Amino acid sequence: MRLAKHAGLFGLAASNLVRYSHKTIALFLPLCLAMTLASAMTFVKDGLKKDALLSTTNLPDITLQRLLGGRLERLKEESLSKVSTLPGIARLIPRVWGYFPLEIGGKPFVYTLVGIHPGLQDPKIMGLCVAYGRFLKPGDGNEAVIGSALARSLGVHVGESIVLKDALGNAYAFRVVGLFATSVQIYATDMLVTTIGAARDFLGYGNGEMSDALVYLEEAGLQDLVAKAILSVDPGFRVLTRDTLTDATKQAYSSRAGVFSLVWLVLLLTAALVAWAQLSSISLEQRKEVGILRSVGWGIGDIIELKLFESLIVGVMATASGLFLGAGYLLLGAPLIKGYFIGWSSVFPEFPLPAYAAPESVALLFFTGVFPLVFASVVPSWVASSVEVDQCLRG
Amino acid sequence: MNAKPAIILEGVSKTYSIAKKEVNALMNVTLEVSPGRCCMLVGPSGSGKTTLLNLAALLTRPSAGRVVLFGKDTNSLGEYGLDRLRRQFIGVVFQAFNLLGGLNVLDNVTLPLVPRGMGPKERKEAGMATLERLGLGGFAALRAEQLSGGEQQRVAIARALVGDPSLMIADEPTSNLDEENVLAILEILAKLKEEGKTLLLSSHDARVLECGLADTVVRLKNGALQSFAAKG
Ligand SMILES: Nc1ncnc2c1ncn2[C@@H]1O[C@H](COP(=O)(O)OP(=O)(O)O)[C@@H](O)[C@H]1O
Ligand SMILES: [Mg+2]
Repeated sequence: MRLAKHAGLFGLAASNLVRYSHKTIALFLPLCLAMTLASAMTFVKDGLKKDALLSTTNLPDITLQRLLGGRLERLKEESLSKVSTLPGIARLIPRVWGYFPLEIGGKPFVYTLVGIHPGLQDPKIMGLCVAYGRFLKPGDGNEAVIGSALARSLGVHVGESIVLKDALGNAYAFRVVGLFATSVQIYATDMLVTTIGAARDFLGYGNGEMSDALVYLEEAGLQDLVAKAILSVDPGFRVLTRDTLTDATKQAYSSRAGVFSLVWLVLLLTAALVAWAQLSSISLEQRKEVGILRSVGWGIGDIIELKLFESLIVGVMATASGLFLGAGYLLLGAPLIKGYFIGWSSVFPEFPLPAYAAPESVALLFFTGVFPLVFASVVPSWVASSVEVDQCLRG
Repeated sequence: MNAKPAIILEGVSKTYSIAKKEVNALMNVTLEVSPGRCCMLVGPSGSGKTTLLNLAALLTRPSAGRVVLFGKDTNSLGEYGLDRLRRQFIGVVFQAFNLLGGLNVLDNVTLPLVPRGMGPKERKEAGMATLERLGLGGFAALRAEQLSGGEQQRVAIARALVGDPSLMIADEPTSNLDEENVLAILEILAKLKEEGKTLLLSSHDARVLECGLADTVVRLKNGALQSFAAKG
């Protein structure tokens, strides 16, 4: 029976791993550790990428800004009058945003304040999700919706007010009417969204002034065409289409992924080296074992299959454990190296680490975790198998 | 001699080179063993007995001459072919036993059955039957290294026997054993011969020589065949 033979070899492989438990542990531990780190990093990388790409899907078709000497300048409503009549444009929504500093626990942090037209913009279109309370509605003034993490840091609840210093240094009170779910996206954690009127007051914008304008098109496919038309009307605009922003985000993450991959590669190389050292340090013993097995009637293929099973069992178990530990580590909030994963810990006092296990990443992790071990295990046996049995027996 | 010989060694030589010095372990030895017969190699230590057994067991290749096993010229075979022939016909008992430490006795004994595709239940049954036969039934679950020399020797014989080989090759199967164990092993070997197995043994134990097991006694000296004595 073919199957019985493979099952027999598998069983023997398993008992061999128990038999050489020291060697098994010496292989398992470093590989498991490397895979834990590699998978934690990969999951975060995937999570960041997914998060960033998700946030770009909520971008308007075109974002219009005014550049002056390379710096962002306020946009005036008058300058948009010609643009708003261009064909293909469905809606043009002014937006006001800026940053405000806040000291939490004695440390300075920077938050983003965004002013919108309630009614014209719903949270969904901005890619935001209100977890508690409500979103802004027409008629609101100094009402605000803030990130849950920010609320937690400040100790405010829905219905309470927060007082911040405005552009002129005067106290300005916002009434918190809702909280964003921060587990969904990182960028919502540091946000305060209020009405455009309140934002203008707070940031010192004049009436009719805005930071940028969000352009929604009748058809997303018109992005490039409309962008060109806008520039021909007024070359002073900076026109950002969603496609270019998405591409830029993708690019930013693939270059970041490059750094991750490098660390990853080093980790796996280390694991492979440890595996190789382990396996060749016992090669004498292994050679003798190969000799004994062949002397009692084993073929070279049988021995290689045995070694394959041995390394597969260790490799798959170590990789799977590493994946679980990596995921668990992230669930615990990635203590110690959270700041290393995202270089913004000084900007955000508290944020959830986005994590996502992309199937292709999991497959890649398995391949890189298992393959070096299989290689390091099978090749020496294969080499030993091509030597005369008598020589193997002598070690 | 009507049957085709089980083993033919034809002008076989084996030269080892260690540290650029050549050692002629075996020189131009010619020998035939018919099926069901027992051939005993005798001679002082270093005379080439183990080398000859290793050649017959296909564990090494001759430097010159050829080894023919059950009609197959082994010179034409690669390592795969040798493995296959070994699995088909040969059971080997080493002087050093060569059991796998850490595996229990039953697992050691059933090792040759794994590549034959026998299921675990059949393997266990065959292994236990062989162990019982050699009076080792009670040792099945013990680790090989927990046994005495005589017991390990018998486990090694059990392992060689479990696949029911036509040819049994044993290198000094009674060395380092006490009287009782020597007699037990001679008894086993005699039974195997009765069953029609071909035996190729080496020994420098007078008791083994005198027990009348051997049909032919081949005396080696310094790697050369010195005398050949056939019974009857
Ligand atoms: N693998 C080997 N490498 C080098 N020399 C060997 C090897 N095997 C045996 N010899 C030498 O060949 C000679 C015969 O050895 P061996 O066949 O073991 O004799 P015996 O079994 O009769 O004691 C000895 O001189 C021994 O040192
Ligand atoms: Mg010897």
